[in-house]
Amino acid sequence: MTPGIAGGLLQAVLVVGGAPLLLGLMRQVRARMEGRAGPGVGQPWRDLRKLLAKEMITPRGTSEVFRVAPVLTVAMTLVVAVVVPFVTTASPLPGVADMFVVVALLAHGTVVLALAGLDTGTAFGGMGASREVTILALVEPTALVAIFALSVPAGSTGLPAIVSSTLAEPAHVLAPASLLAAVALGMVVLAETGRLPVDNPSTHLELTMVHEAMVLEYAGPRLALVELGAALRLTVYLGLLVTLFVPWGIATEAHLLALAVGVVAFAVKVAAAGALLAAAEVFLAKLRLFRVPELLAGSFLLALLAVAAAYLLG
Amino acid sequence: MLPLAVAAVALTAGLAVATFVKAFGVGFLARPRSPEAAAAHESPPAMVAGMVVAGLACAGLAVAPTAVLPAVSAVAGAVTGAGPAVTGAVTVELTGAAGALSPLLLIAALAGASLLVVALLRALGRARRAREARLWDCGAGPMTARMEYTATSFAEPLQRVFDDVLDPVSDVDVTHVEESRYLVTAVAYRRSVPDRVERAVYAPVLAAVAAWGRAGRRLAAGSVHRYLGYGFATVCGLLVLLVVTR
Amino acid sequence: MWSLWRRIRRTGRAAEPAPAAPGAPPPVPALAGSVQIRHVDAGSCNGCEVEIGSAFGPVHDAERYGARLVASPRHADALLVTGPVTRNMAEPLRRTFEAVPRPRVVLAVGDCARDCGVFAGAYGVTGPVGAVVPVDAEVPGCPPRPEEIVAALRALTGR
Ligand code: SF4
Repeated sequence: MTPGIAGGLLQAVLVVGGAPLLLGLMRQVRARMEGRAGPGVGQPWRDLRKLLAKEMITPRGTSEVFRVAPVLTVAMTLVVAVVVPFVTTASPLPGVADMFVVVALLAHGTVVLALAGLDTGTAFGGMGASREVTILALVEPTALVAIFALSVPAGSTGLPAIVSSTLAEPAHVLAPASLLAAVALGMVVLAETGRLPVDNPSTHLELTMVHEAMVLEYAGPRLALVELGAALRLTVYLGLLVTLFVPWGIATEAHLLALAVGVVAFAVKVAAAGALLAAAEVFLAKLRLFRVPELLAGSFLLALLAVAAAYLLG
Repeated sequence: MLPLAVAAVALTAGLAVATFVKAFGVGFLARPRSPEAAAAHESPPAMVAGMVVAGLACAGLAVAPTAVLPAVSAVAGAVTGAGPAVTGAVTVELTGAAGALSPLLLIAALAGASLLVVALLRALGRARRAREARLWDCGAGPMTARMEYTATSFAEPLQRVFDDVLDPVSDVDVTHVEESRYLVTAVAYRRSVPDRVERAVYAPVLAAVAAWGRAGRRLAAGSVHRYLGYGFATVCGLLVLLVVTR
Repeated sequence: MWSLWRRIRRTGRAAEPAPAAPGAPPPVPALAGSVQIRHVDAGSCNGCEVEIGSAFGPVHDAERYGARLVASPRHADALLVTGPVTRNMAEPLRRTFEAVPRPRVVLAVGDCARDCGVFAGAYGVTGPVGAVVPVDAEVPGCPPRPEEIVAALRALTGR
């Protein structure tokens, strides 16, 4: 139990410390490819520090939901960061580390923010919530089905078990079921973290916003939580992707050296995935909102094929 | 077959999320969306108590499903002849596949994480008290209830996605000014989502039953002569039958 | 996609080399290194907007100094106000200022924002920005050069 707790806390600290840096790295990659100089990798941390020093504002007419939502999103993502075997397969909460629970927690992070958006009672808050929930309702099935496909060869929905089985048999990653699930989960990550082509994270136009529109009312420390939560989600989703499909480097025993290797491997893998995503975004334009369901339906189909392949071929 | 079942369950889960966000968000949050809602008041305690009990039961089941699962799975096992499908005291463990989850531990972890976040926010943030401010209404305003998202507007994008399945009926009426086609006096927009199953299955069955009933009513018009005629015809028919079969 | 990639390769870096950093420490220490900006057009001719746009474009790249345009005054630390304040915009400007969490600064960009410029005395004009909300810094010019706007922003971020 003790190495598990130490590993879990290490993961949480790593994800919280690294998430803003990942965001900074992705912005920097985009800036460089657009011919700009970019504010540097540390800019999101500077933004967070400044937001923490600012005044807190409670808009009139909002309820507790508005106040609690940022805390809950961050807390839910933190639990995921502790539970998923990013660095080590020793989980402090072995019975909880089910993949369905992870997906549900991440989805609920979105749900509480959507409720907060509705709670403000502004037109943009409602609009953002409505769009985000529409996307969520279409993404969630894909995520669940893709995960189910991955759990079939491992014979377990526990993440450590899936990772161990992939580590034991690396050829599993190249199985058709796994490849299909990888593509489907990749689209899930794009949609859930609000990246192009589903949502434009750097838009200033309310009518094109999805995630931003829900959080227009947040200011100061609460906004810091919302932004940190978004960065955490991005890191956790990318981390989930690399953990499932490129699990090499993850510590399987409680060695100090193995843990150090795990930390470095995780950081390198997630940074590479983030840089790749940012570079790809330069070539993409945002999809019209009502074209997004077609993309998500496609990913759902892939996930379904992955399950079928897992049963028929596996 | 199993992949399809999984897909159906997963789709339902996604739609359930949307449904509950809509129900809770529109029902309980933000300002009242109609004068009737604004004039709402709390029901008497006896009525509230029923809801509270039901709510507590749901919450209890969610947190500690292990309290009732053994009994339920014993019954299911007895019916299907297999052993219990789930075991475990704090964590729910499936016996068929390796899978486990524990709502109780999960909620404890969530509570711990939330407390940690709040404590860190208190320690690092400089703001002691929040300032009250008017809602950001883009500088115009004030915000009215008409600008809020309603249940219909909230569900519209999702409804549009499932247009082919739901087959909604919508119509737009544009009234022009008499002098010019370019000026509009009013635009009326109506949209409803009639239940497709109701329309396709129930309606024809109900219509057939009603037709049957109408035919029956024509037979029994309330005239004594006609009833006597029926009796006479039946007796004759019987006699003919007897003659023929004997 | 390949043509875009070739163009990216060919263009390389469009941003001009950064001039020397401002020597003075930022006036509001809490905002050092990161200033989020909400732009308010209080009645300008849009000349200033074009220059602000190019200040945040690839060539001058104000974002590299920690300044960023945001969509809501709640997310902002600084208001970038352009144009003379017209009668219709006086109240919205005041409300926008109220919506910004403290500490906050107001930057009046362009001659119009400073003293109504060419629109002084016009019937629809309430007055300069300073007559409606407290102004912390001004950028003169009609319109001001992007370099000057960037310099004013750098003075805020201190980078
Ligand atoms: S200062 Fe010049 S460019 Fe700017 S708004 Fe006024 S007239 Fe237009």
